[in-house]
Amino acid sequence: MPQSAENKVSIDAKANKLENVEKTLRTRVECEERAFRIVNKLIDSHVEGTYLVKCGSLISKEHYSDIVEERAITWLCGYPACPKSLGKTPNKKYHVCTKTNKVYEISERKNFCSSQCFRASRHFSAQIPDSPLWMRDKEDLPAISLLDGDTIKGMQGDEVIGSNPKQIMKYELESLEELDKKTSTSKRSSAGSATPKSTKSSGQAQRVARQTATKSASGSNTDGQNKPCISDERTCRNNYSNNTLAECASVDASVKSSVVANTDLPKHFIKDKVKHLSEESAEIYDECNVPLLSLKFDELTTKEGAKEQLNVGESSKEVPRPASQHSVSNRNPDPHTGDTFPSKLDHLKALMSRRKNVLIKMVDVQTVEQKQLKKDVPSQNVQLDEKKSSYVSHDMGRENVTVDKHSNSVASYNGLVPSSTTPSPPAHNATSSVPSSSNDKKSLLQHVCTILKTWVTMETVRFLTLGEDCEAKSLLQFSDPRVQQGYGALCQRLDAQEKRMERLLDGSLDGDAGAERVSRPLRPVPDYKALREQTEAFSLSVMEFITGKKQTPKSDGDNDADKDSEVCLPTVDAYNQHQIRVRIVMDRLDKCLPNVLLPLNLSIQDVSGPVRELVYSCRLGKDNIVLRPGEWSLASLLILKLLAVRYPRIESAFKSNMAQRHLSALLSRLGHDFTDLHSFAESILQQAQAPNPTEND
Amino acid sequence: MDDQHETYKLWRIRKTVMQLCHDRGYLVTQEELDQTLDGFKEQFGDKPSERKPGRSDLIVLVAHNDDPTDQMFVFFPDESKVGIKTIKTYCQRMQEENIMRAIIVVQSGMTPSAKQALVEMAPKYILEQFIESELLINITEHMLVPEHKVMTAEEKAELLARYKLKESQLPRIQQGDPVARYFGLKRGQVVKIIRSSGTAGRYVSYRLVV
Repeated sequence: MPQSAENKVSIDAKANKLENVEKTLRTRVECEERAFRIVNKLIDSHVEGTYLVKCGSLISKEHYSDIVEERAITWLCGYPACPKSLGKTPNKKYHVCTKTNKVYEISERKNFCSSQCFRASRHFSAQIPDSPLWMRDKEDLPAISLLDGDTIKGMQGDEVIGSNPKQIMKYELESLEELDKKTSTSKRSSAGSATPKSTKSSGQAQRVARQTATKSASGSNTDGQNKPCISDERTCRNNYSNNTLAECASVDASVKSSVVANTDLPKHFIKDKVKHLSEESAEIYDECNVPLLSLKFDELTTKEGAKEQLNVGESSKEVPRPASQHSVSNRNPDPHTGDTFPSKLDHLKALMSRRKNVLIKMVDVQTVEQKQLKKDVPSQNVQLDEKKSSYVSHDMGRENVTVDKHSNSVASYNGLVPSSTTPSPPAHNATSSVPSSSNDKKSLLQHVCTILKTWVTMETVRFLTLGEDCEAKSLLQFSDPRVQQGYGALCQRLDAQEKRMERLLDGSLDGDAGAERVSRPLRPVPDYKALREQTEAFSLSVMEFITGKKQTPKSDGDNDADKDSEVCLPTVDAYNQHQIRVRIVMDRLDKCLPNVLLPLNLSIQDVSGPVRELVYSCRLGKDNIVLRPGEWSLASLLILKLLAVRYPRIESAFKSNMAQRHLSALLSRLGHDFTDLHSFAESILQQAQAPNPTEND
Repeated sequence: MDDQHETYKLWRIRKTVMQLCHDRGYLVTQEELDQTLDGFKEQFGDKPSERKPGRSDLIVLVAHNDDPTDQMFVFFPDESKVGIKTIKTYCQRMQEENIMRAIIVVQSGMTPSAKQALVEMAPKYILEQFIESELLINITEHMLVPEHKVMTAEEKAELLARYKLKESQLPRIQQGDPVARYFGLKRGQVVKIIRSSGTAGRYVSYRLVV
């Protein structure tokens, strides 16, 4: 019994299913039949537009095309709402319209009495839904609209070969513009290459202007940024610790800042600034730096050493504070100079003007070759700095003392070396510090690290982080950090300009340069002229300023830079000195590198180029390049580690198993482990990024 | 030139249609089967462009050999593409004359709705459509087409009985097969196909129309 009941249920279910299927099929067939009826009706007679709209939702596109065809066969206009009959239809398949210069396929158009009807029919058929007929009642269909046959513009047919004259004109215009752009670009580039001196000199003039502006700003802002807010220098100075961080950021900002922003700093502004600076520096002296300026260098240096230590050990957040401290101490020379020489203001002014003068001269002396230019800049700067240091010879002596003190205090902080070392002349400085560090193995690496820290400049960091090849060859020795940074910014900006120029030549511009390219071709020549005029005016104004203010600086230095003070030409010697130092360093490094490279599985060819570039970017002093053989290998190791930041190949070499084992063995003997190397390298970089002028004072 | 070509075409078509009717078992005089081009021109004219002959003049009405009431129309519509309206007029005429079968020889084709109309009339009125180009030659005379013979219902029953077969056990031929269309075969009919064979001399097979 239950079985039969089950059967019955299943039979019922089957029957139900069948019924459903039949039902759906019937509805489908019904729909089709209805559509067929509609088609028949539409074929036979002309209908009202409203009826056609109703029919639209009940037929498919195929039905409609049938309707059109059938109506055409019976010599009715294919559009169901059109009562007209077809006239004589042409036999041809294509129609060439001489008016619009187009070829139309008219096989479909032949089904209609007029182009208007054809268009209206197209419009209607486009609105017929694509869904199956029996699904139409389950979905909401969009309302179908009809075109009024009388008002619309007709369609001749399907466009086969179309040629819109407007389009053609547009294309031609575009191609012409493109051609124009190309020619103007090449013209400009050729002008640039043909008269490199002029362009470069203009660029130089800009740089000079910027440099002066930078300097004047740096007078107020301590760290040598061309900070835009000049009005509140006071506040800036009073909030050093807050500011330094911002200034660090503004280094980047100034580097990236556009050319125009800096070129139009007026001359009087510079003048004002210089005056301002000189006045302010006196105030600074009174205001905040009294204890530090009291020439108690022992105190100062130990303090700095402590800070330095903090800096090394702690995170980058701590950097601004010590940096600010340094920057405060950095101020010392100038006010101190004021103490030493009664006419401090005059002297300062003289210094500034001399610098400017040198820079102006640089413009004229500029060589065409870019590389040479790059090398010249640092050389002149070095010379300049040396001049300065010669003027402030007294000060310089202190500077060296400070360095010495600094290194010693670092050691003393570790509690491993007797803290006091008598201030010794620079020549003995290194030797005096070396034994102290050699007393303990642990401080050896730190000592090397400290020395390397004195080497690194912003250029080094930029060379490492930005990875620009031609970058960072400038080398500044014992220079004011303001000048350094200003120079860094300038050099980078110039580089950016040159790169942009190069890219312009290549014709592949992007970013800001791309925008420039878009805007320039519209008026290329006036733009260039304006630029030139501007720069010329600028150099003129700067010259005027300098000649007006020029004073014979008091010279008690023994440098040959003094002789040049009238001419203000860069000496070859200053440059040579750096060259010699670089050669010495490279020589030492070349000796040590093979041993260091062996465990790293690198060849000397792999690293010699980068190392050379890095060393060129370093600030090498006469006292900080004296190291012991063991220290040299450590230094080379650290340099390699620094290079690893930029060169993935060296980085991977450091990560290899053998290198890790070898290096950790080596370092463990010194009381360090492998990670210390990394942290040291990082601290060196950080130190350079957060400008630390300790070693200059 | 065009007229000549057109006349030739019409003659060929009409000749093939006559053969077709004859092969289907309709009564066609030998005279009509053997009509030459000149004879055709004489009868209908040689200027199709001036409707001499017009296509509608070629219309044929044939009666079956066995059953004279079983007649068949052959229509030649004037329109190049046949619409539903033409079909309707033909239908009307067939109804008037009580003729169940018709062949429509179209020039280039039919609209989909016209085809649908043919299908809808199918059970009562049988309308077949040929395109003119299909009738320019008689395909059954082609050397590669074996001889087809349509079997009557008795012959089919005898065949199935003799070989103790069911209908479904026979080889098949499609209704849309050109030869099947030529003979106007309906579903369930059987054709006897006799082909010459290198080994057997004559090879006979039977195919059921599906």
